[in-house]
Parts: sequence; structure tokens; C-alpha cells
Amino acid sequence: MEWIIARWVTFVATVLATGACVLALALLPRASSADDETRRRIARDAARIGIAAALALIPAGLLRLADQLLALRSDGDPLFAGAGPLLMSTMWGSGFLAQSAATLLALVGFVHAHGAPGARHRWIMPALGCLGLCATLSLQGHAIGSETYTALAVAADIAHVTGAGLWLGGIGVIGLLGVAIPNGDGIVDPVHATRADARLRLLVPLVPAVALPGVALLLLSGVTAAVLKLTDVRDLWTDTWGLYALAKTILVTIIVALGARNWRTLGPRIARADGVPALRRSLIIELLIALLVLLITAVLVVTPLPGEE
Amino acid sequence: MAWRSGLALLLVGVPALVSASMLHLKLSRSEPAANAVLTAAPRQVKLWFTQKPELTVTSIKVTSGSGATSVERALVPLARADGADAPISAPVGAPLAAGRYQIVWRTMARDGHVLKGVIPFDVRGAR
Repeated sequence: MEWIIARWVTFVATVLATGACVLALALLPRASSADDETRRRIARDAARIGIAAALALIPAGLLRLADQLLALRSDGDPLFAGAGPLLMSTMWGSGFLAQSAATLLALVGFVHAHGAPGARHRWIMPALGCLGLCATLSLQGHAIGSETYTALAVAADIAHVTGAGLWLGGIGVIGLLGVAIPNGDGIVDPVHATRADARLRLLVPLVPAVALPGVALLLLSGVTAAVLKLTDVRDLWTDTWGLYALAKTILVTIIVALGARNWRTLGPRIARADGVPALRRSLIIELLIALLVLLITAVLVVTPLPGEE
Repeated sequence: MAWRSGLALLLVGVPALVSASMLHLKLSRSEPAANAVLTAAPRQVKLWFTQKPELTVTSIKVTSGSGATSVERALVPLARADGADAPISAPVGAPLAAGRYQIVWRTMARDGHVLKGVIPFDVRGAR
């Protein structure tokens, strides 16, 4: 179970780190109503989220490495006895090393961006790191294990993670920026509360600019990946992998529906006093379901494909 | 219209082409075969897989019995030819005496999926 949690943390952190870059590079430049100082503060906080996400990737990666070494270890051998061959001469090891390099690039990039968050060019390094993370996750999943249609399967996986980063990562970071954290006594500082409300009013209307292409990419790549893995459409309700995939599809559909409601119904009411709390509630529900979707994805990666059980 | 054709190809055509194409690595057969009764000690072990396994993290052992009479022999070097259907082969070394043995193997697919297995076989009348 702990290994599934390590994968889950990897997915959540990758999506959030990507979302931080999306916010800084694609959404904030569209926030024309905000002054430079507001944009700078939001970018700085997005960089902090990126740093936290990149740091979370380190223990998650080490746990996955330990899991792999334990699975390959012979009785009595030290845990790290097989680390050399695993890392240096297998596809899994290449993927792990590439992910580690991408994590380091993203971490250094986020720290660099945090120093001058208003400077867009400082976000190029973390963005490249996040693209690397989105690309290399596919090197340790079902896609690379196939000897046929490998390129299509890997491309679908990369597009799937990138789509999740654009969409769920974007709203995830906005959700974190729009929540005022209570102090030790459980009281929310009114200044923080006002700032959080203002951030949601500023950022939520911009979400469709990245959410729509993100959802399109996610769905198209998800359908492609499912088509490559299912042997029959009935696998969706008769096979364990299929049932997880079906549950994931239903939950993603609920998030899309909530997002559409936010956009069409709650969004226009955001200027009203009761508009922001309703939107925040909906956003939190969306994000909790998104966390569940990523947990199911972590389980899917280690579940035998249809026809293998 | 082009996008509809593309979507139709994706949803209908691809499943027909790739049915069961993404299955994981599996052992398809071995020499000695499972539960084989051999009249001569095997000189090498061969394992055939449905896909190319990661050779560098593969291990094959021959074990037998327990306690003082037990045998545990790690087979090296492992080799695999380039062909898609080529087996992993390993020399057994010194001839095995008559008795019941097990091939204990472990390998890994390209995606990191680790497989393990045990293949029992008997050697009768070997010298």
C-alpha cells in the first residue's frame, strides 16, 4: 500500500508542479486587471507550491526505488546490491534517472523563479523540468512494457499527464492560492481571507484558457490508452483494471461537470458577496475528487492489464 | 468530417488491430519443462518469455532438497540472442545427480514489472 501512496504522491506532485508553471506562464499574463505587485505575489506563492511539490517527489522517488530493489532482491542480499544494474542498464532505471534529473531541474527552477517571481523567463527552467516529469512517468508504466504500439502508448501517456497538469494542476494551484489558512487558534486572518477571495475572483475566470485544452488532451489520450489496453469493451465491468478505469472515467466526468458549473453558473456570480464561498466549496470538492482520480491512477499502474489475471 | 473519421478509426479500428497487444511479459515455456522427468541431467536451462526481459536483473537458480543435502546453484552467465523469440539460457555447470530439483527464476519487464517463478523437474538415472 505504501508503494501505491508513493506513486500517488508522485502523480499529485507532478500535476501540481506543472500547474504552478501553467499559472505563472499561461494564466497570470492574462490577468490584465491585476497590478504588477499582485501578480508578483501570486507568482511567488505558485513558486512555493512548485518547490513543495518538487521536494515531495524526492522521498516518493526513493520509496519507488526501494520498492523495485526489494522486488528484485534475493534472500540475504543487501537492499542496494542490485541498484547498479537496475539503474544503469534497464528501461525502468533510465526512467528513474531521467525523472530524478527532471525533479532536480524543476526544484532548482522553482527556487530560481521564487527569487524574482515576476520575471517570466525565470519560469522556463521549472517548466522544462515539469515537461520532463510529464514525459518520463511513461517510462515506468504499462505503455513502455508493450512491444507493439509502444510509441503510440508512450505518446498517449505523456499527453495524459500533461493534460492533467494543465487542467487539474492549474485548478489545484488556484485552489491552494484561494484558501486562507487558519492560524493556530483556528481563526482566519481577515487580511488573508480578503486576499484569498480576491485571488479566486482574479484567477477562476481565466481557468477555461488552460482547462479546455487540458481536458481535451486528457480525454483523447485517455481513450487512446484505454483502447490500447482493453481487449474487449466488456473488460470495463468484468476486469479489475477495467473497473478501475471505469471508476476513473466516472470521477473525471463529475469533475468536468463541476468545472462546467463553476464556469457557467458560479463564475458569473463571483463578484457577489456569496459568490466566492460557493465557488470555493465547489473547487474544493473538485480537487478532492481529483486526488481520488490520481489515487486510482496510481493503482491502475500496478494492476494487471485485462487478460493477464 | 476528417476528425470524425479519425475518431471512428481510433474507437473502432485500433481495438481490432491491437487486441491484447499490451499484455505484460510472461514465461511462455522452459527447458526443462515444468514437472519434466529427465533421464539425463540437463546441461543448460532455457526460459522463453512473451517479450524481451531485462537480462541484467534476471536471475536463475537450481535448487534441491533441504538441510545438508540441499543444492542451490546460481546459474551464470545468462545469455540471450537477439531474436524476438530467443530464450534466456544459462549453463547448469556440474551434472546434477538424480533427484527432484526446482528452477527458481526472477526477471523484470521493461516497465519494471517483476516476475518470479518456480519450475520443478526430476532427474532420474543420471550419473
